[in-house]
Parts: sequence; C-alpha cells; structure tokens
Amino acid sequence: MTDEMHEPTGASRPSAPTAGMAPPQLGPESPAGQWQAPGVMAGPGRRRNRTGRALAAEVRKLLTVWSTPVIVAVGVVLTVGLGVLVGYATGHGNHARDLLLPARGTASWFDSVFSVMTIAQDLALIVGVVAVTAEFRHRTVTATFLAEPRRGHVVAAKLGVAAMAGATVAVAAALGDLALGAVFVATGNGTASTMLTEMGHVAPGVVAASALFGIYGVGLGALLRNQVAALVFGLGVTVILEPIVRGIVLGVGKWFPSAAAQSLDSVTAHASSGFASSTFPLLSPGTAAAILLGYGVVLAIAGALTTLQADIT
Amino acid sequence: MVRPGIVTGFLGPNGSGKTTTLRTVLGLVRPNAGRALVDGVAYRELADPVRTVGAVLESSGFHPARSARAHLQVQCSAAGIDQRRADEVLELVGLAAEGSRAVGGYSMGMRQRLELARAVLGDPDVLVLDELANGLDPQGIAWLRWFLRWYAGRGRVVLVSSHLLAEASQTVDDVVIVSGGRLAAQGRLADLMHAGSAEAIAVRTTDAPRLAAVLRGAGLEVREQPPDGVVVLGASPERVGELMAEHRIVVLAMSSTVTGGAANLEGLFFALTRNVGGGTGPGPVGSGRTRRGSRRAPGVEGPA
Repeated sequence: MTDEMHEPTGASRPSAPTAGMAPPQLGPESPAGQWQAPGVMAGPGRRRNRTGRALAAEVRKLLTVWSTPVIVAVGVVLTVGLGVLVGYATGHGNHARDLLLPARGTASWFDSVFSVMTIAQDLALIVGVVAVTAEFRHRTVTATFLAEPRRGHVVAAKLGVAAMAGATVAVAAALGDLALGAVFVATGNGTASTMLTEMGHVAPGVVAASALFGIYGVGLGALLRNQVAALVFGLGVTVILEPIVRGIVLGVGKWFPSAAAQSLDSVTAHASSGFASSTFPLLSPGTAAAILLGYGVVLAIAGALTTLQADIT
Repeated sequence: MVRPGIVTGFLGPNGSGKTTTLRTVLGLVRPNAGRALVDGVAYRELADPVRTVGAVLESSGFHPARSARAHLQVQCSAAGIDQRRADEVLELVGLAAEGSRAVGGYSMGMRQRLELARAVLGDPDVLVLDELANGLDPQGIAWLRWFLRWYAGRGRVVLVSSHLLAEASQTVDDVVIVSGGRLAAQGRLADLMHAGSAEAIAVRTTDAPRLAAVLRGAGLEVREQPPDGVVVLGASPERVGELMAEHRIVVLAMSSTVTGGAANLEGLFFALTRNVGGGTGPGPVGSGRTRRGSRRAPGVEGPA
C-alpha cells in the first residue's frame, strides 16, 4: 500500500510531492528559512466576527464543489423543459378538453407553465440536507468543528446559507421560466403583461418556499446525519408520501411541510385556478412560512442538541 | 510539562487512550468525567482555536471533489485567515503544484501533507499529530521529521502520538507514555531509557517458552515475544545470563536498556505499561486536564 502513496503516477504528476523537498535535515540553509515569517497571513484576526466567519466558510464550501452549480443547472433545465411540455400539452384551441385545460396565452395557462418551477423546492431540500450530511460522509466535520468548536454556530450558519442557496436555485429557475415565457409571448401565445403578472404571482412564493426548504433540509440533515437517510426521508416522505396522506387526513394534512410549501406556492396562483391550484386545504402565506420555518429550525435545534453533540471519532 | 522548542512523543500501546485524549482536548469527544483545558479554558471557549492548536487527526477527511486549495480556503474563511495563506501552507508541505487538483485523486501521503497544511494554517502555538507516520513512505517520514523539528524549532510545542516506539524515538526528545488510559511516565526519552526502574533485557533464544518458564521460576517478570523473543523486566543482565547458563539455554541475541537500541525501547515500553491502571502515573489522562501556563510555554499535565 505504501508504494502507491508517493510514486508519481505518470505525466499528470510531473513532480512527486517529495521530489522537490529539502533534504530532511535542519540547518541555516534549510528552505524553511523562507517561511520564517508567515505571520502576515496567519497573524492578527481579520475583521470578521465568528458568525461572519462561519457563514463565509459555509458559502465557500458550497461554491467549491461541482454539485452546487449542477443542482442550479438541473433546476433551470427541469423548469424550462417541463414548462415547455406543460405549455404545449395544454390549450390546443377549440378541442373539448379545453374545458378542462386552460387555453394558450391565458393567465391560467402561464400559471400552469410557471408552477413547474416548484421543482426548485425539492432541489433546495437536497442542498440543505447535503450541506450537513456531506460533512459526515466525507468526514470534513472534524476540520469544521476544530475551526468552530461551538457546533450550534456551525448549524446556524448552515441554516442561513442553505436558505440563500435554496432561494438562489428558485431564482435561477424563475429566470429560466421568464425566458421561456418571453419565447411563448414572442411566438404569439398571450401578452407580455399577462405573462409577467403570472410570473409575479408564482415566483415569490416559490422563492420563499425554496429558501425555507433549504432550512428544512439542514434540519433533517442535522438530526439524521446520514445522507441517504436524510435524503430518503426528505424526498420520499415530504415530496411523495405526504401529499398522499394529506389527501386522507385533510384537517391535519395542511400542517405538513409539503402543504405549507404548497400554501406558499399558491399565494395567488390558486386564485387563477392554474396548475398549482389545489383541492387540499391551504394555510395563509404568513402561517405557512412560519410553519415551514418552524419545522426546519426545530429539527436543526434538535439535531444540534442531540446527534451533533456526539463524539467525532 | 510539554516543552516548546522540541518534539514530544505521546506514546502508548494501541487502545491506551492516546487518540481519545487528543480528541477530548480538542473538544471533539466529551469526557465522561473531568475536563480538558487549553490555555486554561476548554477548547470550545478559545477565542481563536485555529491559531492556538493545530491538529492532524486520523478521523479527518476531505470532500473528494474539492481541490486542496479550496479545502484550505474554506478553513481560512472559518478561521478568519487571509485566503492567500492557503497557497503558503501548500508550498510549505510541498503540494503547491498539486493544489488545484481535486483531493479525490490524492494519494494517502498527499492527504497526510494536506492535513498537515490545514493544521498549520493558523501558525498555531501547539501542533498535535495523531499517529503521524501512518500512510507515509520512508521518504515522507524523513521529511515529516524534518518538518516537525523545524516547526518546534520556532518555539512551538509539537506533540506526536504513536504506538510505534522505535519510529517515534527517532523524532521525539521528550515522551509522555500512557497505558490503560493512565499516565505511565513522562520526561526526557534519554532519561527514561536510563532509569533503573525501567531496565529491561530482551533475549532471543532457540527455546523461548523454556527460557520464559525458567525466568518465571526465578521470580522474574517476563514477556514473551513470539516466535523466539523474551523480555525480562527488573533483572540485571548478569542474573539473566547466569540463569541461562545454568539451564543450558542457547542465546541468539541479548540486549538491555543500558546499551540502548530499539529492542530496549520495547523493553522500556513493556516495563512502563505492564501494569494497566496501576502504573507510576498520578491518574487518568483521558479525563485529565491539559493546560498551558502561557502562550509560549504550554504544557500537558496530569490531573491535580
């Protein structure tokens, strides 16, 4: 095993790590001399306080792995792609089914097309879950807790950054839908003002719900720590199982996370009876946001007090 | 006291509590009883942990998709250190040319260097390494020795844990030896090796079981080292030699702590760790306090 460790593996590594190193001896001529004063960099603290540091570290973690831009790109592609399908699957003109489906170019039709951007919420949930669980999966949590041993502060920073990331995914999806809407308008489907009005109806709720789903994901991840478990629970239960159960127990079901998210999505959309309209009972937007935030924060606090206090070995 | 300016070994057999002690001091493991202090406070309370203690731990990992530079920059952000410091420490450990590569493609030795780079990111007063040589080839170990001596030479405390005594003896000046979670001995390695109480004689013979039986019959404490080794504790070489001559046992090799050498170091180790929990140490180390009197004169000591 030792052999592979330092052998240069061909052209990709022209200089083996040890090749350029100084001979293992001390002396005034040692190359160590040039590092005698690393104090400039490592010296007195920077102006940021520790909360700011933790936030900056979490932002940097997200921006330095390829999965983050991929998730944003997936959100845009899915939103636009499904938007095209929904746009052309509905409203064929004078057919009988137009009684059931909105006609092209109408407010309801734009509503249906844009409501596909709620996919951003699921992606935000994934971002939130992975922000916590990847630390344990890749064991970077050791370095994280060495740099910020107050674990609650780390979780708090992750909550904030996951909310920002979730909102970012939703904004990117909304921009994709805006471009799609512009194309639809340009090809003779409805007016720009109708399109923009419906965008204004759908996007804010989805952006808010996505930010809150990012927080919810961090809460799940903090409590479960295991990436697979948290993703299965988050996507399986919240996205798939909950809507089914909600159909059975309507009174209780409206307090579920997915119902709260849908209430936010439907802030105005359901008024125009679009794709996102619901037969489920919904909460007021303010209550829905508070409920969703509550789920995430309560789970995160529970995680910070229980599983995240476990020994790091 | 763990003195600045030199490399101190933190030694003990596997399972003796070295790693647990270090993790407890670093706030990663919660002690069942007692507390661990750094600079007089718990690690969690340190104003600037990264600049106070740097640690290379086996439990530490890397995101495979993140480059080494990005990995260090994340830590720079977390510690409020200038981002340029990442490149500085990459150069320090000889990874400057590899800094942009994803760590997933790194060899074990390169990961060890990167972990070391992270540990010295804040130019800490105390550098702690757990099982330093794991995953390093001989050249890497030689480089690491040089690096640790250089770092200690800047007036810093360097503490290196190891269960490999012969390996550690070439790197460390002072030792702290634990056994069964308790402090067994502490001091300059050279002093400990010459301490009469720790004298041990290692013998290689053609009939180790019979030699062990003979020595035990003479009331001596014996450790067998299969296939052909026997270590005798607390006896003079003359006494052991006479017994072997008397019983006509063939001796292949024999050495004692007095003359030095790796075999004797093992003997010393056995002697110091033979009584799990009942050694010369003042108490449990794992739950003990670690304290540094001042920023430049840190020390690790047993519980009060």
